[in-house]
Amino acid sequence: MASPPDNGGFVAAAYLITGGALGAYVARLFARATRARRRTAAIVARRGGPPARLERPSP
Amino acid sequence: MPNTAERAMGKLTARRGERWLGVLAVGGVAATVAMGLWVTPPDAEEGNVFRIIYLHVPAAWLAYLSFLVVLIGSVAYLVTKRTRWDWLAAASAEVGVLFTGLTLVLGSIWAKPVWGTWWTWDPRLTTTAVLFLIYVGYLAVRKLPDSPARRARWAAVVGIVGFVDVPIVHLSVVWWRSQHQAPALLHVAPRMAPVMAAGLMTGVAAFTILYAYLVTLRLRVGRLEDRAVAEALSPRLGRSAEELMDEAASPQEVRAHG
Repeated sequence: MASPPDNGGFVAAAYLITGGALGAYVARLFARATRARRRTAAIVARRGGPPARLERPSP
Repeated sequence: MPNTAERAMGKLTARRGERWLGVLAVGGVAATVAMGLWVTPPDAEEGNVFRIIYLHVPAAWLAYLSFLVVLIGSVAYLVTKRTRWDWLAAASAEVGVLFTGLTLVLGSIWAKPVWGTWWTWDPRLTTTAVLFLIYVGYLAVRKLPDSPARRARWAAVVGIVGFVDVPIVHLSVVWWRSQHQAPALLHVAPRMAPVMAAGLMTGVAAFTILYAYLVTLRLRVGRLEDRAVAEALSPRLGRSAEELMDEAASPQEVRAHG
């Protein structure tokens, strides 16, 4: 019986692309959350009001 | 019934639930990679490239699941007019587009050594590409400069009509002559070696948890961004940011009481 073909490079590419795409998406979401939190804090500080309650029960 | 669903969703998307989902998702993905790369053997005919199945099939399953949630969120929004359902549909569509894109890319990488081509206009591939474009269109509709309520209504209609393509994608390998294998979870997994089937099921479970985590995280990001907008608008409108957020969450209730 013939031995299976050597195509490990395609597997490495598939796993790396999946990890990269998922990691990049999660990192983007965290960056957006941080930016929104900072924007809220800056607006509240400029207004001189009480610190904002950043989270609320969801949804 | 919608209230029970909303309460369950509330618990899942609370901060503690999100953290637990994150931990479980990381553990699940690590287990999937370990199963896919080390525990399972290479396929006798295809060799190592068969290991892509442990990512490709879970990603395709999540594409279906994401767009099913978009359908549920869209119908619930049109029935209840509660914006939280629209937010759920939007979050699920974004994650769904990510996983549909991954499905196409992984399938293409798998096709090259097995079929000898990166892409062919096979019914399964073509309908999946159409599915991807439909939900990219859905996300584009959400960016239209219109009133939030009208935009949500249009998006809900696209979310409902767009779901028609999901069963077409699934059954394309049955209806038309296709190079693509039969539906993996229903037809292929039961005939696989037990260790390979276990690897596939680990991937499906891990990606499902990952989906729940990503949607939860996306919902929180949306709330934080809305919060920033509400804080900016509150002095101009003379109302607290909390009031504006509550009004955005369920406009119908506010109108009824106001």
